[in-house]
Amino acid sequence: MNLERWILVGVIFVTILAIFTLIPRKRAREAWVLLLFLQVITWPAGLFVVEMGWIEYPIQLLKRTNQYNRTSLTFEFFIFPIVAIIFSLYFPNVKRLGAIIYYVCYAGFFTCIEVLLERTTRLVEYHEWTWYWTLITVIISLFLNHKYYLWYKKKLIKVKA
Amino acid sequence: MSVEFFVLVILWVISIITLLIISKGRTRLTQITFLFTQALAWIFEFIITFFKLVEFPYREFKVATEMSFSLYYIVFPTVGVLFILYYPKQLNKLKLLFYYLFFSMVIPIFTFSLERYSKLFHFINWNWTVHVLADLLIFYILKTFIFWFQKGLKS
Repeated sequence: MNLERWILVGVIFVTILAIFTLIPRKRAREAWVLLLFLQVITWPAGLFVVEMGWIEYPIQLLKRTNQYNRTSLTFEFFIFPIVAIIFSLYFPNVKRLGAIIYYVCYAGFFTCIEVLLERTTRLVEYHEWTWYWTLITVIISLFLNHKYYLWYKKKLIKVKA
Repeated sequence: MSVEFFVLVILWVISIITLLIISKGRTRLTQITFLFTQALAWIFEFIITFFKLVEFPYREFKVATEMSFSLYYIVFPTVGVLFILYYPKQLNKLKLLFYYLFFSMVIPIFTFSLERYSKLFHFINWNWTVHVLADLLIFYILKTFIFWFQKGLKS
């Protein structure tokens, strides 16, 4: 197994760890809403950018993946949704400026990791894509997901487990 | 304009109208059912593509994927919503069994007609029994999740 796959396995492992440590069981329903709604955005968006040839994922978790699906399922349906859950569950109680800073810092951190992976590994390759497109699209996705979550939460009640 | 394009447009329209009609008064329940079925749908689609059980000769994103998009993004999730909407309230076991079987047959029959009359599906190693059983399992997982989720939802 090459270095790239080990990195991927490592990231997945950290993400699983984050699920158990950062998402409280009593907020499980909120987490489900956040997890599931994000796929509505990332599924078509991920397909679109690959279709246009803007981004490529030369190395995927499973060896033959690129023969039948060239988008990154690991990123779109697992890593990014979990990151989005943690983003919204820990959203600070701040005014507009504070919220903007939180968005930029959070998405910025995420973008830095992706850019690092783009430069040093073959997990992701940018073609017509640049780091600020990642930053902008991540912020938009987080924003839509967070708004949906805030709307949904109004009708969620506290129950045991 | 190909037949497949036309079929997909009609399916989108039917699905959206159905969803709009049945969400009235139960918006959040409908949406979480839709979203959860969507997740089950792409996992299922990924498995059948991975094992080369089916092919999708006509698909929306030709370069990016070998998988179909609309069918699993909106059409089948809408069926999932209908399944939860009409789920029988009184626990008559025989009735429940028929209810499950009915929905688990509807999807294979629909898929079969698409493969027969369009290029949206092409069966490579397809097995009816396995498909019905897989659908039964999917509907059971869906029902279990939704019944659990509903406990935390204000009606």
